[in-house]
Amino acid sequence: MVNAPQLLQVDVVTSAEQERRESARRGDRAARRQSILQKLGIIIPFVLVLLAGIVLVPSFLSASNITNMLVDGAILAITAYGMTMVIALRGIDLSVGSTQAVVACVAAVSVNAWGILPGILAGIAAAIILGLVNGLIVTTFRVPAFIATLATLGIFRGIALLFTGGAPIMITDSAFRSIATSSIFGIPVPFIVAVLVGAGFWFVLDRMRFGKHVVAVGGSPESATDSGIKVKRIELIAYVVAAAAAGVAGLLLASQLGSVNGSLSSGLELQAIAVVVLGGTSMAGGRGNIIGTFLASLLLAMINAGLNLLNVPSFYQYIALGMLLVFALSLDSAQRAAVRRVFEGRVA
Amino acid sequence: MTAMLAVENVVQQYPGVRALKGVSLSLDEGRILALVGENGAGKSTLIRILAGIEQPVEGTLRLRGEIRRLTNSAESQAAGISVVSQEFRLVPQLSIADNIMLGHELRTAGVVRARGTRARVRELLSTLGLDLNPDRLVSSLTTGDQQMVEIARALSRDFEVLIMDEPTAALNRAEIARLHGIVRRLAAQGKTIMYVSHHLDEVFDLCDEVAVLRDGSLVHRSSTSELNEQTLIEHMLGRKPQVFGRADGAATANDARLVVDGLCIGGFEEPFSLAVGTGEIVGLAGLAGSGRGELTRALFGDRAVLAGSISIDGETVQVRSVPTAIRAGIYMLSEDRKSEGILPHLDVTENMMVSRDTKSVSWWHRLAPSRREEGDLFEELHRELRIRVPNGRHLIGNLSGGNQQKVLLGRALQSGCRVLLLNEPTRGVDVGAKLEIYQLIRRLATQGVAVIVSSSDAPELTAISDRCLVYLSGRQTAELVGSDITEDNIVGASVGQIAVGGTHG
Amino acid sequence: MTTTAPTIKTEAKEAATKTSATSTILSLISHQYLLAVVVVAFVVVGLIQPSFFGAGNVQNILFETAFVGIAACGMVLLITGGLLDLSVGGVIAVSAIAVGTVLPYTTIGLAILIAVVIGAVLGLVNGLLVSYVKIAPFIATLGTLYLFLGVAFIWTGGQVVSVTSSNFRALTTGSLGVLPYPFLTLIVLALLTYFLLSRTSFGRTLRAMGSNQRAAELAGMHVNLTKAIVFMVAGACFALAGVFLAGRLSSAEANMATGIEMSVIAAVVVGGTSLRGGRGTVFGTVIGAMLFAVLSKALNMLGVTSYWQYIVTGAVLVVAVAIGARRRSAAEVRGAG
Repeated sequence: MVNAPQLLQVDVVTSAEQERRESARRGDRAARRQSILQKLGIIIPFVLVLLAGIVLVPSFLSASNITNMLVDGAILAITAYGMTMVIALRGIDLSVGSTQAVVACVAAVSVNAWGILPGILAGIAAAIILGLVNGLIVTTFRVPAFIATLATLGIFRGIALLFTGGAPIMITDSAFRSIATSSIFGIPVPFIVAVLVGAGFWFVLDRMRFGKHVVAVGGSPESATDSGIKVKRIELIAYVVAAAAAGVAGLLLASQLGSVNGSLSSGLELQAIAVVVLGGTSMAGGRGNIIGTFLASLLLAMINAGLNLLNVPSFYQYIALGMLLVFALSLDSAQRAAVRRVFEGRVA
Repeated sequence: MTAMLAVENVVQQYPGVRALKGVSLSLDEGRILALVGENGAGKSTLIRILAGIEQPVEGTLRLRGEIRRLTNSAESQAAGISVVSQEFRLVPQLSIADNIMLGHELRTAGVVRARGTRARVRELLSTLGLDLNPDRLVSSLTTGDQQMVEIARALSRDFEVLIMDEPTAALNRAEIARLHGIVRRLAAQGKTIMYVSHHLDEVFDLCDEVAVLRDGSLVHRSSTSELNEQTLIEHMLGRKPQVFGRADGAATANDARLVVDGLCIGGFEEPFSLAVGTGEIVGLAGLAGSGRGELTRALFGDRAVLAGSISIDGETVQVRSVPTAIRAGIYMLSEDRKSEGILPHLDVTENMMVSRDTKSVSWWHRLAPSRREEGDLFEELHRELRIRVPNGRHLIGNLSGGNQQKVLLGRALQSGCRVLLLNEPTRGVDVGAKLEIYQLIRRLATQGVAVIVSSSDAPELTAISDRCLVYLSGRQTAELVGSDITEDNIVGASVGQIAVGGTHG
Repeated sequence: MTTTAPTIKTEAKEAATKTSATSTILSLISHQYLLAVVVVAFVVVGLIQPSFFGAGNVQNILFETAFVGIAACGMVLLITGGLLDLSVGGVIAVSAIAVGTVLPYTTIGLAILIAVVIGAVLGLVNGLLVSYVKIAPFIATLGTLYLFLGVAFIWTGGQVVSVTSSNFRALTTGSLGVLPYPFLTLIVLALLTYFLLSRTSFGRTLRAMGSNQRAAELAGMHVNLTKAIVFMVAGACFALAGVFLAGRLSSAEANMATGIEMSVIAAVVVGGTSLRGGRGTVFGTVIGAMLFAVLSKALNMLGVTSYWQYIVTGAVLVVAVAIGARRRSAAEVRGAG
């Protein structure tokens, strides 16, 4: 086997061309497969649950239940947007439930004392402070996000309970209480807020420089650092935004309930993480899907409302939630495995 | 004329290694300086310091005569230094356009100007002769295209100094020629360029000056015209290139111990086939994307095998996972000792025993290993492998690269393997230990182990292999035997420039 | 030559034993500061509130230590392997409810065995999710925490299961001298855990996995299997803690141990085990558990609202991890991480 030099040279160039075309094809296939899995992961369950609800659950389509589902879904979605951003950064915020409790309690007391607007501002300010605490622990003290926010989950919960002394706080201001219960053109206000906030998050993540940096930090922290991105600042901002989002949701929740207590929203972190992952945001970071998060929040609200209407004991909701999370996470890891297989060429 | 960029007496130290021992180097405006040196000479460290990724222990850095401190990459970029790094610094989840403009996006009030960005990126890509859709995700690109995107990214910034660390490692000839044209044009525009390369023809072809690093010191600097390839190699090695004595033909006649037939690995069109005799050392050469690393991983069950067969001593073995490969008598050491080799929290004895073949050990000691027995075994290997460590309770993380590698070789020995796959066995190993490791590998082979050494270091392959297979994009381009195994032949065949027939086929 | 070689060998060996002895002593001393903190806290609180020294209170502290410590023995194994389990509260609830439910029908020994087996099965669920479905441990176990709590609620219908067997209560709350049985159990369990972690192949795989998982896989270690097993062992430890808690409270319910995961993780981390895995200290873990027991009793005795416990536990956890991060940056183990 003696090859003429020129022949081999030509060969090399054509094979590189071939390889390039092949890789483009493979890349497209991987991207397609991933986006299909991602979309199916949320749309199929959404449609199935919707159909099941309509067929099996009496008065699922009644006006009051629809409003109920939209409001509940909206409040969860707002919290979950912030979580989406943090998870896209390869972080996590387990303290959202406790943050929400603190915000709701602070807002309730402030609304009672000073009126509606100062109350709302006080609540948001509290959220930002708690977010800063999370962000600083993660960035400055280099504590892993899940353990830092697990600790602040406890700390913030303690603060909320101390603040209220364990007793519920009634909100007397009727204007504040009507925020979550009123509607514009028949659409509940919280739902409108959720759509607007969601649009804002989508714009920031998809169109703004900050969003590109979030994806870069989540996808490849070393590349981000080398590109001159201030990784810690991005992380800090994300934790503050996540807390603020949880806070806004907390205000709506306080308004909806009319009375708050220190153990409000415990276990919220699980719901938020579940809808984020179900919505197609990968736990491996680098990909945030706000629209998916929004749909998944509505899905969870439908499940909860359906189980309530069927008079299923509330414990089963725990199970449903746990299963949903495990399902979403399995899908996430299956998705990654599928992409890997395409690249290793194990799938024709 | 003050130098555009100068480093003075820069010292950098890592645990156990002095990577730079007081290097002073200046770069002039409009000139292309080649920086050459063997692997581990300190080139990458110097680049990382200039890029602001690392801070030197001692020494100063001047830009146009002004002392500057670059504490992070943002400062380095702001100072006008742009770096094409050897390992890609791309975000797989972002598009080509976003990657190129990452950190200096075109924007109005924080909003990225999508159209402007796309146009700018198209223009950049077309100067590099690339016809790629800027919206494609980087994760779907070939290594060569990723390399080009990396280069486009460096060019997209405002820079005075461009540092390129082996930019052509994954490129084909046409692309290399185009890149050289661009580099020359930039120099003509008055930019300062530092070009790091292993390919000496590139150095002579492109660069005005050449600086040689060896073991962390600057040993030579002159204009390229004053040198020829021979003298440059002498400067890099610090001696005349010597021919290692090899017992030729001793092993090639033996029976095949490992036979690989038609092994298909994902990502490579053509199947791999090769045979390694008992006691033979076969070298695998090739650039990035050649598939030699993937081949060793597939043989070790760490990468999916799509088709084909592997047999050892005539017996077909199924390699589905790493444990099955080890049971079949195959062992592999990764090129990345730190992230895929050592277990930093464990002491050297335990590090050596983790893959131990426990067939002859009682069931109780399989569950709870006997410390005394393992200690004795360690002492034996400690002397045999000449590992410089006071005792077996030392943590492996504190050892030098060469000693870590010896411990890992000890681990391979303990596995009782018949086929040993080594990836870059002397990467990050100092010169003295390098020779010891070569001797160890040779001794293993004489004991009957079939050894495959996959390496990017051509002198290494000429030094130890009985036979050398060269790959390009998953295709074997040459089989070199005996006196045909020369650096020239290996380097030539790995870029596909010289066709060498397997004369001893 | 032949005569000198053995001498060198023995010398080297002596040096080895010597350094290993010194390093053991050194590491003991470095943990001693934590013991000192515990003793000082104990004495200071006792001086303010003399009843703190009462035999009953000391036994309370030892029981509390044992309860958290037994669970922490499982957790230290997980953390050494680079894993984590947040479902502690769920496993404890389910196994305690199991004990309460089966106790009227079987012997005490069998009831405890059933509880421990249930704990191991729940641990296996976690292990499979982490090792084969490849979900990150903290998030998988966060999901199963709610699954297990849901199981516990459904099992009891939200009611409290009372544990009436006086023999069972005697066994779980009795004591030998001042040392309660649970504390003695903790000591035995801690010794077993130490042996498992530092002397067995299983422990070696665990440490290797936590130190550098890729390297452990490429060394041919059965990483996935080890993960599944260690989650089972940890689940059994949690269940044992649940058995003692059921005896102590004379009852079992789904909410009996909510939030316990934080105390357990904190005990392990405060004891000096790095969350990044690779090495774990069982002795430190026991002392860490004791620290929290003293702190919580002290807060109690000083009349501080129980809500402060959340804040103190969380703060101590953050501080311990932050200090650990600082210490590591001073290159405690080079080449790690």
